[in-house]
Amino acid sequence: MGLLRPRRLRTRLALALALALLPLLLGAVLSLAYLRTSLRNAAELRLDNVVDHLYRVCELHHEPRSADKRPDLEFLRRVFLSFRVGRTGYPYAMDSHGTLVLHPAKEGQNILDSRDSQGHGFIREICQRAVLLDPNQTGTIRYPWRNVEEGETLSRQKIVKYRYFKEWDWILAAGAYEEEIYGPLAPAEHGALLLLGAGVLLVIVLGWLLSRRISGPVIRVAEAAALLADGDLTEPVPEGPGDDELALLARAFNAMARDVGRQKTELERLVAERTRELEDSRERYRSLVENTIDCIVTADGEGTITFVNVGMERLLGVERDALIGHKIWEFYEGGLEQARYIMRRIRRDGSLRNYEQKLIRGDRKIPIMTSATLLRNAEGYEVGTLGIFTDITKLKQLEAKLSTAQVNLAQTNKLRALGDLVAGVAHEVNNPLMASTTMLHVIEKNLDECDEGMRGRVELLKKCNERITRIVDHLREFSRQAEIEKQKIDVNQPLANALLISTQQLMNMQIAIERDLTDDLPPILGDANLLEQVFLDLFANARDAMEDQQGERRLRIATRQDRLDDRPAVAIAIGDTGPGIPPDVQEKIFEPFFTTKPLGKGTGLGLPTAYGIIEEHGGRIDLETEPGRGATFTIRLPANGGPADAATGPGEETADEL
Amino acid sequence: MSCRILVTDDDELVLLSVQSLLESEGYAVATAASGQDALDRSAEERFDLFLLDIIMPGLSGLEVCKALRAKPEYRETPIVMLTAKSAEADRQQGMEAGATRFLPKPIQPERLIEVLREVCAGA
Repeated sequence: MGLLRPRRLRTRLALALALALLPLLLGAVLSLAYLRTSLRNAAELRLDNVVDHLYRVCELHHEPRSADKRPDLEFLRRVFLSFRVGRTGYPYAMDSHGTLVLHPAKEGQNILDSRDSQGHGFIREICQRAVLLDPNQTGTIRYPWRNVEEGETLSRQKIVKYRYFKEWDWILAAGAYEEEIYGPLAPAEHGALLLLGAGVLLVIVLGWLLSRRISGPVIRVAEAAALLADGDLTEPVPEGPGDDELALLARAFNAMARDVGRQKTELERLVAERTRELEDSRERYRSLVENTIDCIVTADGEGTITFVNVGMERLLGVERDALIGHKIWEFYEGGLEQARYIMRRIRRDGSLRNYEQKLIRGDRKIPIMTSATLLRNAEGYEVGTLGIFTDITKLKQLEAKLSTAQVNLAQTNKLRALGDLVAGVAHEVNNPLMASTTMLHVIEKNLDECDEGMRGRVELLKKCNERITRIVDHLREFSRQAEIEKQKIDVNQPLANALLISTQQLMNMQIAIERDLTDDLPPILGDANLLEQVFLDLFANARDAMEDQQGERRLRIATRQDRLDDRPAVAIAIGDTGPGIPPDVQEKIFEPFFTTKPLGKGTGLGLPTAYGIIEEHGGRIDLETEPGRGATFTIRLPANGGPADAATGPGEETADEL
Repeated sequence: MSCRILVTDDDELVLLSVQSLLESEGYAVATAASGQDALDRSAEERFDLFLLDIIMPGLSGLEVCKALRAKPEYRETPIVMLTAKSAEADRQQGMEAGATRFLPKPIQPERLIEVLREVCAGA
């Protein structure tokens, strides 16, 4: 990846060096070119000199014999032919029409239409130009020439210098092959070119070497840096022996790499450590959240569930995936309104603690305690709510039980206090009543047979005493303080006894008796006489309730196996078809001295006494009634010896699954 | 028939009414207002029957009964005890103390006379 940049650096370095050397090179080339031109000019000077020399000869030859128009051709021929230019070059003369006047081989021939190897009429050009030249001027023409007569196949460049000698209309020319006149220059030229080439080569090589020398360590550092960037710290840059900047750079780099390596190792160690701590912590919190019995829920700002723990799944009986995405208030008994109320409370107080409400699970409602706070992100912005729900079903059940127990206890205490009071009253009334009755008996006995008026009055007093006696008897029963004598009995027995006693009375009032007795009831631990008394009392109440009843009068008596506080029990139901008991009366029927019967008919102690007796048996007496539809008293008595002998302790009851 | 009865009760009303009843039936009746009084009287003269209330301040009827039975002259004398109707536990104690009969209080006069007749006849 990072390797391209240093390569470019090397190219650029080489380029920079080349650029720096370019003017030098250019100077060398220019110098060489100048040198070459100068040398060539010097070589050509020989041709010039020949032509000039010929011209001078012609001039000298002409002047002394101004009278004689005709030049001495023989003399001139000798002069002309004595000149040689290069190996094969020679001078010649022709008139301006192209007829050769002096020539080693072709004198007298007209060569005006001679053409060079490219077809150019170079003689004609010479003739045309020469006549136009100044007397001191030398003309020059170059053309390629192939000497056919000597069997040449390649044309060579020829150079011809010429002057025009006007007096005779002669064109004096000297020509030679360039290679012949420049020939001596060739080694010098080649040498110079070679030198130049060598110079260029040297520059290139030097540049490359130099750039390599400079860029090499830089590239190595760059490559090491690239490796370092890729995380490989094992390849430090080789350190040269020198102490130049590059060596220092390499050393500094290696030091840095070692440093980075150390820091990286340390960093990795720290990261590993932190990661482990984080995982530990995460696991701890996860197990904390998952294993807590409480239900943990988070919801976003719109109330959409974003997380639930196992507890919540269990509470609602719904899988996590089916909960997430739903609105939390779908599970509130109070719905959206409830959710809004909860949010208001959270915003007002900062959090919500132990708020009681109910969650919906199918067709059941589960009482829960709700605690909730706002959830904030790291920046402190609200991102939702955290709710913790505690199932308080058991608590509620216990509460209800406790409440019942409290009511019962209060009732029991009240009855006990009343019992004490009543016992005291009964005891105190006892003696005067006995004295009064006894005295009446004596008085009656001693009355005159004929005194009917007085006898009637005494009779009335005796009736008063009888009623007082009955009341005191009732009071005494109610306040019974002696221990009841419990035995294992079949509850059907006292019931049958009570029926036996009551049947005649009931039949007299046209009350039909409907029996539904279960035969093989479990035995109970109880006092048959007291239970009989309770049944008698309930029969009497039923009878009285139906006294004014028109139409069918029926007493229903049923026994069956039942349960009392989740333990086996025996239930005895005694129902009538009377007018029922109005709600305001229902709550008072077990209170002592409360009666709806006419004065003198009821003492208001029957049901309280029955209640007390059933309590003493560890049982319960309940009333079901509806106005116009009769009343049914159901007595439940613990079976098989009662709670004291029961196999299960109180702690194991109501183990409801959630 | 002569049957001399000592009636013991701390309640004067009971004492007077029972005395009146028994006298009207022809019995010779003496009264004692406390247990100690009854023991004193029983030492002064001889009685054929004791009617004892159990609950009394001072010596209770039971203690009086035991004390009487300790005396040779009253070892066989009928002792009828009266007690509040509900105190069933007293019955056992009374019988152990040597009572002949045990009656609930209040008792109808007819019933009391009936019982006393039976007891006197037996004596």
